[in-house]
Amino acid sequence: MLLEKIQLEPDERVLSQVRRHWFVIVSNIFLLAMTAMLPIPLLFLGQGILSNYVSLPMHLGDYWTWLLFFQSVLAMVVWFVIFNVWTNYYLDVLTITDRRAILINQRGFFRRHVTSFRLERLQDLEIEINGVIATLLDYGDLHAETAGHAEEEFTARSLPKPRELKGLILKAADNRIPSTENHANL
Amino acid sequence: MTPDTTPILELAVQLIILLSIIITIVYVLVVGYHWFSYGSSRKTNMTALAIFLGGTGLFVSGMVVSYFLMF
Repeated sequence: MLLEKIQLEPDERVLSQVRRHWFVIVSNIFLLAMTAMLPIPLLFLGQGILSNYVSLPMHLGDYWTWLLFFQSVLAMVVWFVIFNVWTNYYLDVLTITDRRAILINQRGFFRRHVTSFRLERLQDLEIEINGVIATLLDYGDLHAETAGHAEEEFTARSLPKPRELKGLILKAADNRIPSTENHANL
Repeated sequence: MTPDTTPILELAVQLIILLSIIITIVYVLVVGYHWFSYGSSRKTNMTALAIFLGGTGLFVSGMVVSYFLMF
């Protein structure tokens, strides 16, 4: 499972594990579900409107078995896409421990990107909340700048309660610095 | 005289159903591997798998039922 893959150091403690905000996945799934459910009712609606003006040579109701078949095929395709979206959501995790921040980003199947930095290397932590919905539901992006990792980007998107997360990371980083200095003095 | 297209349509529908079942099996293996290797909760993985298989079963049943009603 996930924590076995991360391979925590001895005595390393997980402080928080977060995924993107629920609104992101729910809005995606809602749009996809609409894609699956709307075409056939729209066809019937179109037929109803057209039949007021012209005499149609055929009626959709006569082909309901075909419509059922195509609805099932369409629903199944959308079902697979929904589970792709969900898998992406489920496997994208930001793990904050008392020593590191680890961001796992699943970019499709068999394509996985893992970024991490040690808290004592943290230089700057920015949060960005874009838009009305993100402000109301309190989610946003978290961007970290670290010493020695200028080229590699550490950006976690659409995280819930980004201010609290920023506070948590900063506090853990502050706790980490004295203990590192003590080690250096020894 | 128009040729009877029914056998071709029947074959096409059968192929779509067969393909759906094959794709489902491959997809379950792929997502199952990812969920159980990189997921954080076994309970969530099992629930997701049950929902996925339930939904897929429903849609394949829809295809099979409509096939028998059509031909």
